[in-house]
Amino acid sequence: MSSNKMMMALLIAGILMTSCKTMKTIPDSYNFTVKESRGNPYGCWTVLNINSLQNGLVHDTIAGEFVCMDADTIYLLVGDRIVRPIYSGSVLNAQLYTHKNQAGTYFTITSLFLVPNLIGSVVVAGEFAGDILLLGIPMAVVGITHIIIESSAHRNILNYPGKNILDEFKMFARFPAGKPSNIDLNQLMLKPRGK
Amino acid sequence: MKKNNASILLFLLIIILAGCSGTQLIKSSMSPEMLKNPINKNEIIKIHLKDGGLYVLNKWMITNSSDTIFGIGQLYNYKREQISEISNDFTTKYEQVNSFSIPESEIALVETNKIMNHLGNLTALSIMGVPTALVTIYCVTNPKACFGSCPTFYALKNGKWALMAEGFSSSIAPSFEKKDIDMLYWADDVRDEMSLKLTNEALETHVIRYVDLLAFPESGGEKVFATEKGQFYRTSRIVSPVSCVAEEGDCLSQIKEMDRYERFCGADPKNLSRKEEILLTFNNEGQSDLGLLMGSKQTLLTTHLFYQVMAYMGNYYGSIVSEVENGNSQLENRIQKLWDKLGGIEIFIQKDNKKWVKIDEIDEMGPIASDIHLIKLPSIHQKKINIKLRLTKGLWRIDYLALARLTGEETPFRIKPDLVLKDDSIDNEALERLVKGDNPLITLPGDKYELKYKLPSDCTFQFFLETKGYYLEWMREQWLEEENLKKAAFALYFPGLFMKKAAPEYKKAEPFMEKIFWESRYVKQ
Repeated sequence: MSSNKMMMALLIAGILMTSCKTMKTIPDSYNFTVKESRGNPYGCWTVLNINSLQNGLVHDTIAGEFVCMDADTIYLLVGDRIVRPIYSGSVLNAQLYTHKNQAGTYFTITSLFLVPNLIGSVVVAGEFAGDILLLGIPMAVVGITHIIIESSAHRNILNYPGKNILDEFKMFARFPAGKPSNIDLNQLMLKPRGK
Repeated sequence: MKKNNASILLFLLIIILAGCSGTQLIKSSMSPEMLKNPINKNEIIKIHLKDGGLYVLNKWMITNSSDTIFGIGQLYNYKREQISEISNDFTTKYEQVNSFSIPESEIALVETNKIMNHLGNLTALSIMGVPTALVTIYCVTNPKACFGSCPTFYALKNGKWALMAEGFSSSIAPSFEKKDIDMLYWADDVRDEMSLKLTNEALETHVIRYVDLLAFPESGGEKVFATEKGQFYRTSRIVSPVSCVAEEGDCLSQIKEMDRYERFCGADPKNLSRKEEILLTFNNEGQSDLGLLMGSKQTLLTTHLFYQVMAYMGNYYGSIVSEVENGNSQLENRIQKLWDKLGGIEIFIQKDNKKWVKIDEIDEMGPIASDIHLIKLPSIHQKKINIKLRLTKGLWRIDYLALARLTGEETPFRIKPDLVLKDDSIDNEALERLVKGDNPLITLPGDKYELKYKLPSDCTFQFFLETKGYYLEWMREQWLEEENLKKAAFALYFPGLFMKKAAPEYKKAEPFMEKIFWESRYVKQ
């Protein structure tokens, strides 16, 4: 394999590897697309790690839609008609997912723009294969950089106590102004799949 | 890739990547009062009601006098069941029934959402991706426009390696071997040692018999220039023309300085060998022994036609070249006539009797580096010196035209390389081949050498490069698909008609050819 081909193969491998990012499992219906996130009527998916006995002996992880937050309580919708109030002082750490990470989108776009280079090098270009691949390197560099930054910056996740305070989570709740009066929280439903 | 190109590419990458940042959803809350002076009225807003309901409004409005928001979109109850939706076109008549009316008193909070960086990232990917895909598709479908060059030389200019010259571009086979002299116009003044980089950036085999420096001691700013016949003259008092007119009009600004700002035009769409004329006028200051200085290089027209004829010859290209090498002078003449059809730059001077007389022709081939040629002029007694250049349209890029007074013929110091480095290691075998000349240096695509020359004494010099050799263009696999001996014969036997027949295809490629050529030169990584 020529050095040109090897370099391109490495770049492609790099692109593939960066797209293999790990992400904590959240329900598909709460992994909002960029377009969806602007008009979505639901709260964002949140994972709380709490000290459930208040004495530091037992830790618990609770995940659900962020419903609302008042002075000392966070309300998570963990299932249909099941809302769990959690004392905010017991939260050890929390992650809130605002929208879908776009690394996959950037991977797809980069790959599409590199299709002519790949096809050209394999099918048509003969001994130009290496050169045709080389033409794609600037695009591959830009694409990989975007994918890496999108994957590693985690700007789609609010993180307590790392980069955010709990109060900043409030705006991503179903009821950001706080719990409305005269409603029964136990009537709430999770966002259905595919809606 | 040329170092400058690499720097530009790096700069572009930095610009593109500078704005690259992870996508972020920014949510803000505002009061209904703040909506009266919103930053962006097209923004989607969410209006949270005190009873837990929610309006998601795609379009909305509020007036300064009103305490009600009007809008279209969706209304949800606290369980997020959609209660109603209004998606009519929203008009300025906000009182109309086809919109939600939301009294301020029912509102708990107004929320805006903004996605940061996503659009910028998509734009950056597109800015890089679209040209990459287009250039690649073009190169794949028309590879003769890409990946070509000739023996290439770099010297230091302002302390950085810069492209200076190309060697024996017309020497496409052993029988066409010849020497070539190029002025190293932009090279830095150096003492004691001069360095050159020699590269093979094409799919070609370069056979280089020698690469000698021709040095002239600097003398009070007087420059030495070379004629096509290899004579050198020291000059003084260089003046620009008072007018330069081509078919597009005034072109004086393009040819006043040797600055790579060149005068050129497109080839004729019906006949690639059609000629054009450029008229120059100089003031005659009554001096004798004048010479015209012309800095020029070719466009990629010759390269394109050469590759096209090679493609037509296909598998027979090797045997046709062998025929020429074995003394088939008729075939050699046919090839020569094909190139003669394009021709060089003919120089005419208007004599005292107003008749134009041809005095010389510059036909140095090669699209990479401009070279300056000196054309000796006969004595003229008119107040104005009128010169006419006749050249094939779209074949030449003219960078510089000036008149110089010749102060005397000069003989250069010839300097052979003293040290040759390949990949930063001393290469004594390459040195021996370049110095002795009987066993030439052979370079392959991607090869790079650095040649060092010891200068004779403690003074500065002006340099020329004298090279001798030839090169063998490699047949490309996909060119073989175009093999057509009838077309090859047509090109060789009817060059005039061939220039007409080949014009439409060349015109299609012409606008992109230069850009793609410079972006696609082959350098071993």
